[in-house]
Amino acid sequence: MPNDRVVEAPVLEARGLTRRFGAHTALNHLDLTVRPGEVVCLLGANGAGKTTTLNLFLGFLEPSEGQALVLGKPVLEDAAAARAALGYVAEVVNLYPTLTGAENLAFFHALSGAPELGKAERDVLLASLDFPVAALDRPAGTYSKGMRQKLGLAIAVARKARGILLDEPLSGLDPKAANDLVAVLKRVAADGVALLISTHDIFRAKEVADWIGIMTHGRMVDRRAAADQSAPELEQVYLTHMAERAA
Amino acid sequence: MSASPARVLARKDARELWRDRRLVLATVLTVLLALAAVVSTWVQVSAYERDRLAAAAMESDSWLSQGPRDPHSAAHFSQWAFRPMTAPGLLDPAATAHAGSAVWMEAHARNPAAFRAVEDRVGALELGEFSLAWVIQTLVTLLLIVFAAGAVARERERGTLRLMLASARAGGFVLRGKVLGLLTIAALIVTPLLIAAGAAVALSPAALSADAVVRVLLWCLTHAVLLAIVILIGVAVSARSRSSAAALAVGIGVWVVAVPLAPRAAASLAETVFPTPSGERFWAAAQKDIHDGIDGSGTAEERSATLRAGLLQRYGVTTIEELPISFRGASLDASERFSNRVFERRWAMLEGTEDQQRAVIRAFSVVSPVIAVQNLSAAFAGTDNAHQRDFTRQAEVERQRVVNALNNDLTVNGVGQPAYKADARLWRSLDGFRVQPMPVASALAQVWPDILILLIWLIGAGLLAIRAGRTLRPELPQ
Repeated sequence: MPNDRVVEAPVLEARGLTRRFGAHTALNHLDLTVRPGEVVCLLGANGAGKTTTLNLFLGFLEPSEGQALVLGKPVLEDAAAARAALGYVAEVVNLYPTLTGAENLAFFHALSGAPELGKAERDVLLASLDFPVAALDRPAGTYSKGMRQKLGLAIAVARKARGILLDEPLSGLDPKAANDLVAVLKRVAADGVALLISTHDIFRAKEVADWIGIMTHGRMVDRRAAADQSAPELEQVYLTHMAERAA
Repeated sequence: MSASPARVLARKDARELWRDRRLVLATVLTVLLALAAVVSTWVQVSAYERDRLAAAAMESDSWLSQGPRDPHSAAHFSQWAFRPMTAPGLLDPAATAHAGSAVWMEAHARNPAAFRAVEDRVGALELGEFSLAWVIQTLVTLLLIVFAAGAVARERERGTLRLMLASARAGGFVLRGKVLGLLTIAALIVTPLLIAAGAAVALSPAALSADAVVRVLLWCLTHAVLLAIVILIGVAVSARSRSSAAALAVGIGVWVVAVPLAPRAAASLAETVFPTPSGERFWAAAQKDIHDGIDGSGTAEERSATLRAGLLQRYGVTTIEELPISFRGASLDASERFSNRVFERRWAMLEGTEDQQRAVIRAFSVVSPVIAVQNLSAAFAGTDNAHQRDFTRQAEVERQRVVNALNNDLTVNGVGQPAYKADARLWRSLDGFRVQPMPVASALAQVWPDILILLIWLIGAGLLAIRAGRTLRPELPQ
């Protein structure tokens, strides 16, 4: 079952959100809400419109129609305010390889304008995200992908983001690292942070999400509560939609 | 209070550059080159000043000890005017080596400056002056183009731009931070050069004055503006490029056009459109004017006859022997004044050609701010054409003063004395000419169009960077 926080006002909301690139419609009238503590996964193949959705919430793209709202305010009106409330974790968290993990974290944290992160506070945060604190003084170029994902998540959490957008965060992780990250994401959500995750990993989506939206060709064609479906059922639904779309 | 995102970004960039040794290497190389440039220029200036002072002393001694002599003979014995080197000249010798350093002030002719330093050099070495100005205008601008190319494009390539933009509380900081970071790097590279240059100027054998200090400050400001323009354009290009390689290709292309190509192309075109007459043609035309006359003044013989008739009428006598003045002296004086008119006319034409050439070169500032910077740099260093012109004009005024005084002495004292000789008293009264340095205000008046051009470039580059910052996206549209 989705958690108890769903009655709160949404952190992220899409109303008929549409984005076209010339004749191609990348996102077609998407309606979506993500409330505090809620985890929503957008499930779909490459080109389904998942990343376009995240870019519209971050204000990197302008909608062709409809609205993307963050904390009830249209992103288009104040993209900076929207970004101030959000965190972002890319498929591959790109850090500065010659800077240490601590320096990378301090840099991105300082950019947000949030109060300086004390060492003790930082270490507690990183420990809560299962990041090995001892590795903080190593150059980030030596980090595994899992470590970089966790540090990327730490950057978002440290600034007390109300919502975090994650673009294929589990892609390319080994099973243990993926499991660890799923556990961490659940803990972050339990603290009241809204998570919107794009992924094409049905099984991990089922593990982490409250809701799963299946997207094909820019449309959300199905929306289901993760708890109501088993992973094989979800896979069957997903494959059916893919086949219908292909037909 | 937390630092602005732009400052945070600038600090991060500096730290990254420091870690991978690029900045250290670039700074060390540039400082070494600049020190070599400053030392070599200082040695040249010192040698020049030593030689100039020695030659001036010898010249004065020779003039004073020439003994009793016909004044007109003394006018041909003549004197040399030596151009002093200014202390800021160390920063940018510009075309000093190609400009004459001494003017022979003799009767009947306004001579061009002679003794060009290039005449004493090996031809193969004539690849341009190696100076602090060259290091900054050529080398530091290239280094900044290389650094600026990766400033934004590299962040885009490795995906950090997306995370940066997503992390910041406000947009527009990336370009500000990158510009601030590169300005800091430029300051890191250039400050040791300026300290070395300042020390060299202070230790220069040439006179150091308040005027010289103002010139040095203006010279520094000019180059700071150039570097700011390079950084703003470089960062804007980087922000609009998909990759640092693409940004570098565009940046190098812009640099090639702006730094080595445009100034040379401009000078070449200027010389083609408004050719400088050869020395042979110039002197032949001047001699023809003197012989045949100008503005209906008649030939030399006709002018002499007119003078004779005029003097006889003026003094109410019938022969030149009855004149109360020396006809020879008066004739020489009239001849001198006429040749002065001819030379003023011919030199004005020559300077007019130079001005036209300069206008053509200035027009190329549309494609290169370096042209305006080169003009300003040489002007503030006191080594541009305007300073050379000022020197030759002072020498000409002095030449006319001396020759007129000698002719006047002959006219007044040589009456009825064909063998009249003046002595050391006259020579002493005409000795001691010193070229006065051109005030910086006069130099500024000559180069205000270049100041305007440079400011337009600065504003244009700033607007370009602001626009690039406002439209900055993590990825560029396909």
